[in-house]
Amino acid sequence: MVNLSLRRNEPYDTAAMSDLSNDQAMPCASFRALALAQFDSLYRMAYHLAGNRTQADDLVQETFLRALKAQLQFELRPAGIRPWLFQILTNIWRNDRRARSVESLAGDDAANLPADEEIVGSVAKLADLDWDLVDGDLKQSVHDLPDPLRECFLLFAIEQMKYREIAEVLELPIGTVMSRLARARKQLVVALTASTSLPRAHARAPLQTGEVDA
Amino acid sequence: MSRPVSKLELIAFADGELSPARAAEVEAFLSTNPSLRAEIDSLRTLRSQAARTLRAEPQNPLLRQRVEALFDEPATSQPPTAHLVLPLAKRRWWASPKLAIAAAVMISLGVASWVILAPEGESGVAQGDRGELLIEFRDGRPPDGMPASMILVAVRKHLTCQQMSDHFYDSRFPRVLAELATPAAAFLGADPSLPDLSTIGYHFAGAGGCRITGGETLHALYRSDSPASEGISVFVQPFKGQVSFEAGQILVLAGPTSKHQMLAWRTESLLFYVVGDELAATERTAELMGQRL
Repeated sequence: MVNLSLRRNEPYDTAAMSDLSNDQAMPCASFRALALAQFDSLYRMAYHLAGNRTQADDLVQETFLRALKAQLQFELRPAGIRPWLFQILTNIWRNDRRARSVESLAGDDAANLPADEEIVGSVAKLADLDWDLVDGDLKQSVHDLPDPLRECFLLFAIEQMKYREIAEVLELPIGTVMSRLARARKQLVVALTASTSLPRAHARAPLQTGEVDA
Repeated sequence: MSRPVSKLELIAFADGELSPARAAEVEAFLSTNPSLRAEIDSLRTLRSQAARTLRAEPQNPLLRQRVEALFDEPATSQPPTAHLVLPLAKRRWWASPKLAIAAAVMISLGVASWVILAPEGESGVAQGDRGELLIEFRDGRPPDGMPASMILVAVRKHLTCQQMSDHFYDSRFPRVLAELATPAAAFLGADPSLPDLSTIGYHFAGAGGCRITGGETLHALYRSDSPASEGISVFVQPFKGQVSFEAGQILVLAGPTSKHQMLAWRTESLLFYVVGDELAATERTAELMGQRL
């Protein structure tokens, strides 16, 4: 059975917990409802990781199979079931990629954090973009991100996860999450502003970094 | 302002990661820096546009159905989950199209991992994963007109949910019987008129929706006031031809000495099956629901 281990005075995800009470055991209907509520999100994530529906189908089905097998070990935390399910999905994805010796990310640590600062200067170029025109470019640019950047950005942008949640799902330090997000955004800005949709004559000047304290 | 604003804090502000107090300070700082404010807005726009674009991808309803079916199978980590034991002399499953289909359905759904044939003369029974008897069929075999997989799943579901805590946690359905009629009718397409069993010593414990063999199902659980370990489950499905017996007919599936009892009947629009741990209470439930045995 699932143990509810909420600590007192700890904030929790009320949406995820809305159908639970203070009882110690969670019936099958609850685990089912909590898990299936994440189906659409997991499918989206799987689709954007894999880039095709066939592999996304396999990823999602395997995720739910493993979740079912592990439900007795599942401990409901304040953040709800979402990080746990996404962690299963991304682990399956990573193991699959690792088995096929797909890319790893060089220089992937918090030491790369200064890249975060660069993003603030370059993002000004986005101000004049017509987003409707670059819709396809944006999708392609996200798809072109290296795996470690893409999984981080997808959780951040589509799932609107906090740094802490992303760190939990991907089992990374928060500094690495921030670094990856910065690098992902920088790569996206470069890709989007290089597209023909951007009226470059109107591009704004980069940030005057002297305005803020480093 | 308590301290200067760093570049990293600006990014954290754009991402909604600052505490409310610090966010207010950064907000005040940005109000005097319109170009910087525009940069922050662009960062947020990139995130929201990416969300808008990437969320628009199509879903896969068929996969969702398959995944939902996974949840409705009993104990996937402990196969085999149930066995159908049939008397060899009375019934040869390979010679019976209906039983062969039932076996195929059970295997494909993972409901019962295998069908075994008992020695000649043994009664037909459904067993749990530890060999415990779930149902001893009245006629030595599952009745015609109702798939064996439905029987196995219903009894398993009854036992599993009964062992859990006092209530279901399906937010679609109230925990008070008197408030159940409207959401139950909306879920099933017709009012199932679920009974008040307090007159026979059972109280309403909750209701939940699940998709099991036969389709979307409303499962209402009642617990005995004493002993609390006994219960009655009423399963109701929209009737869509999943059984082949006639409306008005009532099937008595278990023999009088069976550990668990099961009755089934249908109307033009709904299929009912009642599973109980005690014969008299199970039959009385059917009577309270307007059935004559």
